[in-house]
Amino acid sequence: MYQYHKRDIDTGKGLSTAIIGIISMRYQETGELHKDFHGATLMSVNYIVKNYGVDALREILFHTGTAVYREINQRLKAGDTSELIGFKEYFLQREGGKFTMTKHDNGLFELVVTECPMEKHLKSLGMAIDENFYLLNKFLNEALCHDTPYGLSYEQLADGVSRECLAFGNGGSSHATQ
Amino acid sequence: MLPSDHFVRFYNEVFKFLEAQGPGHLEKYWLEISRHQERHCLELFKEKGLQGMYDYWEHIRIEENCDMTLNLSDDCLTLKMNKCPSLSKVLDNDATPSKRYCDHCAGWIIPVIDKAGYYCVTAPNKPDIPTCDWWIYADKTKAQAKTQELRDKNIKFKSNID
Repeated sequence: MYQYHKRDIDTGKGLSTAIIGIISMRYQETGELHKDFHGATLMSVNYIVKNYGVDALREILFHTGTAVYREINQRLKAGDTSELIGFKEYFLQREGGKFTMTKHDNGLFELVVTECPMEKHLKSLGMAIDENFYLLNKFLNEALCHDTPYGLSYEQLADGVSRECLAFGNGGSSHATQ
Repeated sequence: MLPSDHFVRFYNEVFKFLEAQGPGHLEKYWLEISRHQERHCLELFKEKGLQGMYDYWEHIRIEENCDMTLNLSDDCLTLKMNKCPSLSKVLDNDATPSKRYCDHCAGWIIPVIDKAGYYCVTAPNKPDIPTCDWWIYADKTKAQAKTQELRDKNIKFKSNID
């Protein structure tokens, strides 16, 4: 969610008061990034699907989406989409992703990612972007919205390009190869 | 996208799932992680030895925002994790931590060190205290002396020494 603060800023021609929006979220890491964790994430997803099946991946991501990201899920249950919006924006920006987010007054949004930083890094590691990458995103979005009035779709449109729409009701997901 | 910052919290959920499947499932997964990690460090360890290991963990120290002290001498690399960022995140988490979370480091690192031809000894702390100590040797007798020292002090450890 965003918190707003008044702050005096030195403009060089005297002080001016500005209202500054600061994201304040449950998890808000700063400092260096270790993007190789993206490789370990996809390797783990592949391992789980290969050895335990797709339902096992769904179960793990259900716990990730509802327990690790409890704050997002609980706020959505209460009709507050700000934590989810902050999460998507903050970490895409932090990892250097290219995206546009169109926000609506009712808290809904459309997020179009034109350069996914995770996908970009996975390719640099020589890892294949396949069905499991899509399932990771789809299942995580489903879990974030579990038992809430919302659905967050995930559509993989092309390499590195995806669209996510937060809407009332269940989200529908798809990807380009289906 | 699962942020790279949040991988370890997802990792922790994978651990809990695998632990629930029964004995041996976590260990097999860590071996898979170890094989994956080989792409990042095995050649470096083989080619440059302890210096390569120092370079790898110095890079990790920076990228993972570790409070870690590295010390390289002619015959030993020591890593003293003063505050592990990985376990710290898992503890700063709305989901419950896996009781075996710390075991994953030995689970993937020791096999890589072993393949590189070195001897590794690690003494983790309690699962809710994000500190640990590591010693890596080229000389097996020196590694054995370290394990004996830890035994004498009644400190639990893991190693690849028979």
